[in-house]
Amino acid sequence: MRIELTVDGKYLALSVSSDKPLDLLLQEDVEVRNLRDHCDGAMCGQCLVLLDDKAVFSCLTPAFMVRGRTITTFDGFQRTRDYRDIEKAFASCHIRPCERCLPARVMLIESIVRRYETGTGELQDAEVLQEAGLVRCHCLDSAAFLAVVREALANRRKRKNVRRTKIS
Amino acid sequence: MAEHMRSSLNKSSKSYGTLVFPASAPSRITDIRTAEPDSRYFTVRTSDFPDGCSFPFLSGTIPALSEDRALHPGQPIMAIFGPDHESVILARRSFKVDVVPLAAEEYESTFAQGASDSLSWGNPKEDREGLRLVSSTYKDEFHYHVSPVLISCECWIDGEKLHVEVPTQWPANVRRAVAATCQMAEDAVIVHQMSVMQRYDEDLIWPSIMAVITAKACQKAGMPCVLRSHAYSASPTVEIHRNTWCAEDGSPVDEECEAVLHLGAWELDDREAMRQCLAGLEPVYNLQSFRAEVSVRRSPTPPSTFFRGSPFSEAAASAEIHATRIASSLELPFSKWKSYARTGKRPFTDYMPSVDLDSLQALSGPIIEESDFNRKWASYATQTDDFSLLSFNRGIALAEGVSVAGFSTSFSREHSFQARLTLTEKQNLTLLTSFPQRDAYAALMKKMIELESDLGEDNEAIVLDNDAVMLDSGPDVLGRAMGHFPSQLSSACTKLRLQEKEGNPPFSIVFSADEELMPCEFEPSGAAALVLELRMDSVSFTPTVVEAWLATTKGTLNNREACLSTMREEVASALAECGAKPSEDPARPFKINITLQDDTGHTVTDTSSCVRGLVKAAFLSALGQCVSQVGNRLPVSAADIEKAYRNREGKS
Repeated sequence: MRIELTVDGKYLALSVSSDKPLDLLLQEDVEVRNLRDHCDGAMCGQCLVLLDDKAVFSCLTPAFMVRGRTITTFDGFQRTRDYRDIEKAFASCHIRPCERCLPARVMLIESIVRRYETGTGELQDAEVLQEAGLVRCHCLDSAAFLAVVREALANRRKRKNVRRTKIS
Repeated sequence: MAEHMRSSLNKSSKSYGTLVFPASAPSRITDIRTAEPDSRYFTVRTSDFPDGCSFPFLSGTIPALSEDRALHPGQPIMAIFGPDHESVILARRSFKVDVVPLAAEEYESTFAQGASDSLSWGNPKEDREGLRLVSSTYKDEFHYHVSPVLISCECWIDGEKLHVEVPTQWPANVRRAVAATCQMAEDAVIVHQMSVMQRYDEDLIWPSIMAVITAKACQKAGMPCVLRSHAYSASPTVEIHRNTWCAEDGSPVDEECEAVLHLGAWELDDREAMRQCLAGLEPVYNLQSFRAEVSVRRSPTPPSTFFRGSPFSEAAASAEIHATRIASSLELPFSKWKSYARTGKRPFTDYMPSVDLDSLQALSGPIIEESDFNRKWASYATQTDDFSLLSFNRGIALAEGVSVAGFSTSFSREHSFQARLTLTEKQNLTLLTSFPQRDAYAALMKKMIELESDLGEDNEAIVLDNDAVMLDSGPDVLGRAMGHFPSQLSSACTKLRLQEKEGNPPFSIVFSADEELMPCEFEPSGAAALVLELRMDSVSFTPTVVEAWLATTKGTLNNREACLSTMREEVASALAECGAKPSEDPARPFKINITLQDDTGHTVTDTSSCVRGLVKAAFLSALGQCVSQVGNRLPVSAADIEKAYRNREGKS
């Protein structure tokens, strides 16, 4: 089938099998460099990408589902200013995830930050901790992940000058 | 370079493959039936290898394919290649493999007992009357590990050369295996080493198996071939039984222990595994005499000699959990007992030099304070087995030990693994190894070369991988690259500077990657202490780890953040192997507090194998404080805990 989609800001028209997993599509047809592994749906969490601002397992997303959608991968995201907010958060918390899971962690944090950056609500810790388990890597403990998300959100709000008002 | 070549090849001109496995193992394969595949598909079978498809691996051999019998799950029978990955997966379903279980006699002869080794020092007391016997049995059951990601191996022929692109910890073995099975000269095989990030043994043996099959497919089809497969590996089963005779005050006098290692279906190097085990079995307290025996058995699992830090970690865990049992038998917190039993120096043996036990006390002191260990231990000890007051039980435990990294001296003498250091005309230093290139590791080695050889501001140190270079630095297992290698590199830098005084560069020296001249089999590579607090509720019976405090030494050159990340991963992954779950309670999410102490005696250290052992020991001790009848068996499941709790109820 022929699909049209936007990957990292580039509009693409591809001819692929309709059930081809998105991660293989990105690896083989778009040559995204940071998605080297394919887990065949084992949910290792290493293939997280943003599909219209929402983090998804690209190995479980078939090609027909991304028709007309916008995909952000770590390759494209790391060239943006938004990435600096997360990079700074890691540095200020003195935390460095392993090289293997860094792209997936960053995309997961970005999806959480995007959900909260414009809102005024408090970060839901339980929700974040549940989502932390999506990346199956042990290099960050739950408390460290939560600290980085908080810091990244603060950086983003500060940069975008979003005023926080507590809901009483 | 490898990536450039891969992307430059046209995708439609490649063949994609997958492996066919038996439904069960160990088993004898009686028949392989298949529907006639169309001309776009082809298979690679044992008959395609006229001289056999086994390749050498250290002191043993491993078959890439086997069509008569499968000795362990994940042993490939054959491979099928076709136009794309998805259609090959569908085509694989047309293969029917009939198997029957191995007959009892065949099973016995195949998985027979292997070698054994022993260590002893001191003279045991002839008359043990009046001494109190404390016994414990530790069992760490094997667990299969199937890599979550598909490992990809690609081969293509370029003129006379066969190129292999695969993530591997040991490129020289991939080259040797392909050359041996495809009847090629070793220098006609070029291995492009892709980045290695797997945690277990996926990138040790499995890449060689995949490379052999893909290379044969490439030769057969005359076109580039890509093979994708999950990698199968397993941890060893380790059983250790200890008897310690203690004096009235609780100080240990004599100790005997027996260890049995089940190291998988194929022998890699049993003798090295036994040496690693014996080094870990030595307890971290003073004794008048000690005797340990280790024996190896083959088992129906993938080879597991070098599964992470094994079996040093398991042996160290058993020593520490036994020490906790001795303290518990005196109804003392471990921290109190060790303050008198763990003093002075542990004696020098053939396996380890003497260890300063006071320095271990100093390492654990701050985390005992920080975690409020003594108060919590006393409090939690009163509620062991009692879910009536609160709906959960809590446990806290302490463990400490010394680490080793790399191969033993005997192993280093038997195998020659090398690296090359070159001083160029422009006074730059180039290090060439076949260790997998990771950014953090390369940066560390650069820092080390700059420090050791006083490079000027205009000169630089360059660390290279060895694409197309015939150099074998050996497998990257047991923290070798951080264990002996830095000290070997340091002496190579000195030698090169001395050579420089005799003439003009370029100079190059090839040096051994391992230390062959140590008086003991191992040298300590740092020390660590760990406090672990866990909580178990009466409904799920899942041990939930709330907090961990780790104090460990760090080489003066180690990157602080990289060290923290490695240690965090080591603690969390070892806990996952034990069957523990990290706390997701927003009020107290799982937290690992790490204190790094500079070890001025070492420029680089690696305490990973010790930390893994300490986590297992501390986990079992803390679990024992929650439910006393649970026993020292890993991994722990909710069913085990429920059973232990019911046993306790039956007794009360």
